[in-house]
Amino acid sequence: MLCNKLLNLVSKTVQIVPTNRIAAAASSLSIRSFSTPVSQEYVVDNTIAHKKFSDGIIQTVNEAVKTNNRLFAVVHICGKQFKVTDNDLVLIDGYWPPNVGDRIKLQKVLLVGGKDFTLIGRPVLDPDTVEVTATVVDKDLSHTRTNFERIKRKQYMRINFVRKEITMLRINSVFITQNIDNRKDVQEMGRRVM
Amino acid sequence: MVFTTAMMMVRSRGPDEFWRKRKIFKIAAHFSGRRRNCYSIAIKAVHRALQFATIGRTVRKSDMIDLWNTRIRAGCEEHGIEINNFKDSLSRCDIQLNKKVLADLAIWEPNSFKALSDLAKSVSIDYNLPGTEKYDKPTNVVTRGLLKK
Repeated sequence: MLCNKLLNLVSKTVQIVPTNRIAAAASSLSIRSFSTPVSQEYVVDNTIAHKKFSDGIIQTVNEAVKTNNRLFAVVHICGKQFKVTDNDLVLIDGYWPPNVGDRIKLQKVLLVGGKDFTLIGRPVLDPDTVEVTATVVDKDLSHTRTNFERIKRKQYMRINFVRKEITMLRINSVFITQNIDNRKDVQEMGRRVM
Repeated sequence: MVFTTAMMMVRSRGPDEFWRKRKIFKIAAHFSGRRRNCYSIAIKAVHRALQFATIGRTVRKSDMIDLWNTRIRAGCEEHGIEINNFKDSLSRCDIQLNKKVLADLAIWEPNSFKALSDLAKSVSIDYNLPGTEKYDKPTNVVTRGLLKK
């Protein structure tokens, strides 16, 4: 009961107070607004200018690609990255399936550069545009590495001999096969279709 | 000490004293002083050398990382960007070149490395990374906010 009465009282006071006071306040005092001032922004549509600019850059790069005769690339092979050019030999350490005589197209190309330009992949470049081909030249075991451990005054001594697999790759060519802005709607990346 | 044939070394597996010592002397052949010719001194030196060789194979990896970091830092300082911001902003825009390759580029492909550092500089300004207040925004990089995720 007491609670109800209190509630009624409160609701009445709330009902009574606001409207008159606020009207009076608005008329007597100058209005103070804490919200952001209204101002109009004009968004300039410069997509055409942007496109012209980027087309210009792409065109200069395409021309630079045609004049360059030797490119370098950063490729990702077997968990390691190598900076390679034509006729380079790459030594790959550890187990790697390809056999001697296989011709391989390296698809994880992170960066391609020439004399006047550099294409940077995020993280890899389009595999249709950049072509890095290689041949497996040699497959062998490495030199013998001696793992020797010994603990002083504890009569503990172990010696093991390790030879890892190594693979030699000859890089045949680093090419940019088409214009860099030439992209298909559906792209194939290795076995995935994106 | 002259090692005549490989065939002789194959025979040296046995318990015969001469051949057992000969294996150790072969490893110690390039040591200096008595460590080369006196067996009791040579064997100590050989054990030490083999232990160092084994440990060195793991230590070399961290040494190389230090070396690459030094080289990348030198390249970054040349173009006026800190190495932390450089690495951070490259990874933020998904460029996954590793330290080895970045160090190679810093030495052998200065133009490509400058391109990377300019890009990194503008990306770090876009993200407002700490320490970017002193960078001048490079004029040759146009990102239009597209590299920011």
